[in-house]
Amino acid sequence: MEKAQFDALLARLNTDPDRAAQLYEELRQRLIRYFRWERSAEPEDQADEVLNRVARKLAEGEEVEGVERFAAGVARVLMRESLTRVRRRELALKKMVLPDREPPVDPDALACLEGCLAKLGSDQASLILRYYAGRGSTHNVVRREIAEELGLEINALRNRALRIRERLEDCVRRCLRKLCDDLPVQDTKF
Amino acid sequence: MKHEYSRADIEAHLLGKGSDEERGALAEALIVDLDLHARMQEIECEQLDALARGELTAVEAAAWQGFLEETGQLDRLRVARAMAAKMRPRRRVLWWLEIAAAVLLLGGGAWWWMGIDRRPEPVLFAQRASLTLPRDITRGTNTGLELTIAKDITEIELQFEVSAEPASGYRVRVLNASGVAVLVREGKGWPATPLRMVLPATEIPSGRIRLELMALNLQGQESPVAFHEVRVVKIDK
Repeated sequence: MEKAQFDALLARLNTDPDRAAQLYEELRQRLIRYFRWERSAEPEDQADEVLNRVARKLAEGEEVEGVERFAAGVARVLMRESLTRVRRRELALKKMVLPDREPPVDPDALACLEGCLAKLGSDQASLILRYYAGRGSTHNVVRREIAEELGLEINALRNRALRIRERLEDCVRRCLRKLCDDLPVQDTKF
Repeated sequence: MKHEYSRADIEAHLLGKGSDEERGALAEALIVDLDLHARMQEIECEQLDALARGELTAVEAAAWQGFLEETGQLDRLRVARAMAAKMRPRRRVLWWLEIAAAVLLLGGGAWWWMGIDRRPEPVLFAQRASLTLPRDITRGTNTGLELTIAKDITEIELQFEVSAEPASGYRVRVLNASGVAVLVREGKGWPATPLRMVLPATEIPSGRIRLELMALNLQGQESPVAFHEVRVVKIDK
């Protein structure tokens, strides 16, 4: 994406450059999830391609009423262009295979989780464990209690929990990768 | 006008169901509507957690595991399983049995101390301990159970509370800590819940064991119904 095109896109998102950059990143993340949910093999690349096309149209002076709606339309076109929907149907046919026996709890993952929860701090760690504990209607009761304690609307609490969970999952993934990288390499002779 | 999407709509969308038109409309709303997008993320997390905790039926579990594979998110299941283990309360199913045994021991000791010989004749029939495997944890692997077998217990009665579809038969396997099947029992038909099975206590190994309940079809092929990991402690009292 050329700088002029990128600037045109940011200017349409918000007049404040910082806020515009934040909205750009949020839109990109939503597009990535959209493509992932549509079983795209390259959700990041496709999200970037949508933003490129939107920026190019804006720089060319195309009349666009809402950038996000326009981006959604481009994303759908891009999906039709790709073969991922065909792939989705193929995979759906294979789905009815029963999953393997659930493996026992992974001590590495548990250790990484403990470390990452500690990094989050006790308030956020406690919030995330309480938020996702329980099931069904228990969820709603507990979440209403937490929202009341924190003086938050339930939707604001949900968004906060989602952000913390993303950070936690990312931390555990990095920790597990690091454990894997730190494994000693066997001196093998061929 | 803004369309309201139910949880069922969102789950169906995530699982790749619906016509192209329905999917297209929801997909566009997902990018534009921040609240709907967050709801979908949350439902995705909740289903992931339910899968990790073994709360889904076998068919649901297959569908959601398929979803994670197709969307390149299978690594999230590892994290969710660790979270489930962290949040799981320890269960002590036979705590009442232990208390009863303690009371009996104390009572017996008191009689002996008083020098009164009122000990009963040796019991000639089997002494049975019972282990209930509740319905809400019959799917997936339940890992929090403990079974204490006192010296005079000769039989263990397993009670599986099952909610699976009826099958032609069932098979119960006991695996030792090394994963070797040490005991296999089969039955015909699909009994009403709970499914009861009596096993000789001497054939239940100490330490961590795994109880597997499988449904059998007409051809004798297995499909999993319930997995339970149980810590068995044998005491000489």
